[in-house]
Amino acid sequence: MKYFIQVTLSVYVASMLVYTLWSYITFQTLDQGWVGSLVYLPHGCRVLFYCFFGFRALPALYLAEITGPALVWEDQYLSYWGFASICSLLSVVIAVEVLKWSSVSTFTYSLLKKINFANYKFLIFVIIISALINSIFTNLIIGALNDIDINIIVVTRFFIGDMFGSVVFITWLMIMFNMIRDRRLYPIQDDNP
Amino acid sequence: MKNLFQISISVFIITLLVCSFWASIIQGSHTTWTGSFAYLPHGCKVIFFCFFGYRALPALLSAELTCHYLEWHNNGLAFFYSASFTSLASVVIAVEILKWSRVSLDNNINLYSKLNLINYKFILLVIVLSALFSSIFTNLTLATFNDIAINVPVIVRFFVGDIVGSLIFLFALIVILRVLLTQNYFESLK
Repeated sequence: MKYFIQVTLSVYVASMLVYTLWSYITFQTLDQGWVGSLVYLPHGCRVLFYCFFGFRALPALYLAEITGPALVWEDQYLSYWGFASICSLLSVVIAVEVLKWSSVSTFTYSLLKKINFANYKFLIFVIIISALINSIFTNLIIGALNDIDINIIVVTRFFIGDMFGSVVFITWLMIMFNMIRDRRLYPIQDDNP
Repeated sequence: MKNLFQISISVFIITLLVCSFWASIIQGSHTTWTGSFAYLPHGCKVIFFCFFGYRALPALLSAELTCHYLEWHNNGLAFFYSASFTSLASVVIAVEILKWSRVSLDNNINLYSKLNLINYKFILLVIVLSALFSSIFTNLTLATFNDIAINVPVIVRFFVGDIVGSLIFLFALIVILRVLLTQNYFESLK
């Protein structure tokens, strides 16, 4: 229970910080706000936190998904965004579970290991599959519930945004954690002696 | 060279037959779009590329282009045929990503092995992943080059159609080849 509360608080605060940063940059120029969706950083939070903490991260992620837009830029969002958020989170859950089922790789690495494709296949694969599922089905739900037509350009933008956003977020996190390790700011037990 | 020729002829004829069969069924219906809920030719692309690799590509591409020309040559879309390239590329990308990730890569996949999820993980994942890629990028290509609006329900229809069509084709192929096997038509090949 204590671990669940720790995970929930950490995930919520981190996700809100990332969302706030992204929305601050994106909505500086409202007429070109869509450019920001080409690098949607919060998707990186979904992928990384679900991969690292599993189902325990979901409540905090969903809470951040709905309180972020509500507190920061509520008027920029369509109705029923909460339902779309469920679909976005489900896309990550489905991607992870499909990959676990396919036994693509065992997920026992950490961000502090050397970056290479052998270590990060799982994450990259989750990013690609979840971005594909999210771009199609989140837009389907938003379009159906709000009775609007969403075209293929928007779907592609979601896909690219989720991919780039996740890669940028994870890269930044890896740089930060590697710096913490190199500077010995935190006593970390290395997995690769 | 002989192998490439054999593969090309076989793949071309089967794909053209499947594509024509599918097209003739949906053209008999009043709502032709319902046919895209089971797009059988996607199964040909997946199976033949998984089994024969890059050697199957020329035949797959020419069969689809031929079929589309025969069935819809006056559809009014200038870049209608560009969809065939992206659709085929989606299968290639899906297979290469899965190979790169080494997901349940069993090189001894064949249609005579018992149908179960352990044997068919690779093909099932290729079907799902290529359907996701194809539904987005084929529609993006069609919309961009032909300057038309394509909305999300069409994308979802493509996605469902590619998966259902591939599964039906795969299932039909397994049934046919099993019948041939049990009747000992391949006795001399063993």
